Amino acid sequence: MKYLKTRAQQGKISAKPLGKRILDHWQYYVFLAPALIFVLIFCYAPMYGVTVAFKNYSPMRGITGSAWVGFENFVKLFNLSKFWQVFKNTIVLNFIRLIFDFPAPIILALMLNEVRCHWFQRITQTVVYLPHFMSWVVIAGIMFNILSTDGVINTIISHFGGTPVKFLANPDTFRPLVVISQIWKEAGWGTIIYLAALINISPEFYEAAMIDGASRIKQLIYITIPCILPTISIMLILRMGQIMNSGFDQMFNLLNPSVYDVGDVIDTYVYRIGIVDGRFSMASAVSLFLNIINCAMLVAGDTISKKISGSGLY
Amino acid sequence: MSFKRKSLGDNIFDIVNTVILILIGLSMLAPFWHVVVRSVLPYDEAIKSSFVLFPKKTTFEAYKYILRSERFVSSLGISFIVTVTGTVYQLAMTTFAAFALTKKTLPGRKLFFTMFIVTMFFNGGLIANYLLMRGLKMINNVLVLILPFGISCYNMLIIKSFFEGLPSDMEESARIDGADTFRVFFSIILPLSIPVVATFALFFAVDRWNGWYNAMIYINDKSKWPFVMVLREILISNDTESMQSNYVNQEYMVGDSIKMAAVIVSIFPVMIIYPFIQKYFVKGVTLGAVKG
Repeated sequence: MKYLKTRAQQGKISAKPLGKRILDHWQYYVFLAPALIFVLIFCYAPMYGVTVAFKNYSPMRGITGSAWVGFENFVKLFNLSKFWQVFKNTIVLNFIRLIFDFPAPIILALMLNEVRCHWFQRITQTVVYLPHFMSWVVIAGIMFNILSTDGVINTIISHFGGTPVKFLANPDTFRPLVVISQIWKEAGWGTIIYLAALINISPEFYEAAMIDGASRIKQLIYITIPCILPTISIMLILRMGQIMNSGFDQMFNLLNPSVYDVGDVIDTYVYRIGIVDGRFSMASAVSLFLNIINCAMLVAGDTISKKISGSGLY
Repeated sequence: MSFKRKSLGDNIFDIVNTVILILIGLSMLAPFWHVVVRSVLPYDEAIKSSFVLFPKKTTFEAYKYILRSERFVSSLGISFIVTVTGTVYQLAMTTFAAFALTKKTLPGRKLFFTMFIVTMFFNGGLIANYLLMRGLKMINNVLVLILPFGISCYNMLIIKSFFEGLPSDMEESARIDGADTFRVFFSIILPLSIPVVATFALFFAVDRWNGWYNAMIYINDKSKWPFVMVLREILISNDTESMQSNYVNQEYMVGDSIKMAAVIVSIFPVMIIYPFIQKYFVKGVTLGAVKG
């Protein structure tokens, strides 16, 4: 019986006709149906809606009724200097983030992993996970309060004789603050995945290293880090797939007109031209362009990783 | 550890590591402490300095104001309803689908699986979603804060891999006793998965409670806003219209303490639940990472 079942699973022989097999599983379909309906409505219908990027959308005619214009929206878009500025801002910001944000949870996880005192480790973990559960609205609000001209930081600066800085309205300090606040909020949470990888390292490696007299730092460099490299590379590939996303939640809440030159990114731009100005086709073209770059980066990252380390996403 | 003798280098390493971690931890807590202090600081203390480590006098006027303000209270009510119904809805959708996909003999399983995976990589983007919501008559409808958050494929896959790791002998013996699929799910699979379900319940609840994006895009009617949108308006848009303006003009700093008190009200429920569920969520998150 067991043998028959596995053969049936492999599709080599069909124990029963398809109709009968579907009927046998009807209860599973009941479980699956809500999710399928959901995905069709809320995920696949918008994918069809992307076609407005190739149309001249008019609210009167709707998506299907609007005229096709081919790549006209994209041509118009690529001729906008504003678009290229926003595009550049996005790339620059995300590149800075990749350099600083990506290693932050790895370093923090390695530090937590080195803690030998159990209760201290647990308390630190509790504290560093906490900001993840706050919304960007709250964090941006706190930042505006602390960093305002009469806020805590500027009070301390003036106390030591410095001149107050308008941190969030200054193009020079805006980018670093975006990166720092992102690390502050998510680095702790990001450690979870690396800590899981660290726990799985066999203690025998460390025992052997200790017999050879390797110091803790040497153990860290020659055992711990190589052992979590596969996890790091998977996280990096996934991160590549997000290269054009700058986190609308964060950017939109921190952005103010004085820093549009450096802080206006594609996500906020799409919102402004689409929802605020109502240029649906144009905004849709930007979204689609973004999505294509993200997917291409994901596939590229995956291919490179497979070539180098032999392990990819799939 | 069997090797008791530690070298000097290792000791320094330990001390430096601990000190840095303490500093990191303090930097995480300091802003919250600041918010707590500002929210209870009386007006005359608040105008003296913007840097107060421990308040000498405290007042709960700001909290009283929030709990008396109709705008705050009604938006808190909306947030509460959205959080509870949204969490139940999302948990049901996600666990049901995950359970169905664990059945290896299900005809069409591969197709359904692909359908879910594709949604992880492609999305219609803001405009297509906006047009959809308009088509579904969900503009200015509180349902827009709940219905679009049914399934996130990534979470579904994690729950699925957890279900697959459950011992199958209980299900088999229940089947022999005549239990049907519904019975198997509700009386065996679900009770065995309480840690994972609790973890995701927390994640979903936090997302609904903190969620403001859909409210901002789709809800123009301010009386239907969740709390976090009202909070956003007074914190970031700096729109004091939502507070009684005469109250703010007279004593500007009181307005400031109301802002901070509103922040506390917003993060309070999360802070309360979080410690109880922390031991579960590490397991919930890492499950996906280990099993792939």
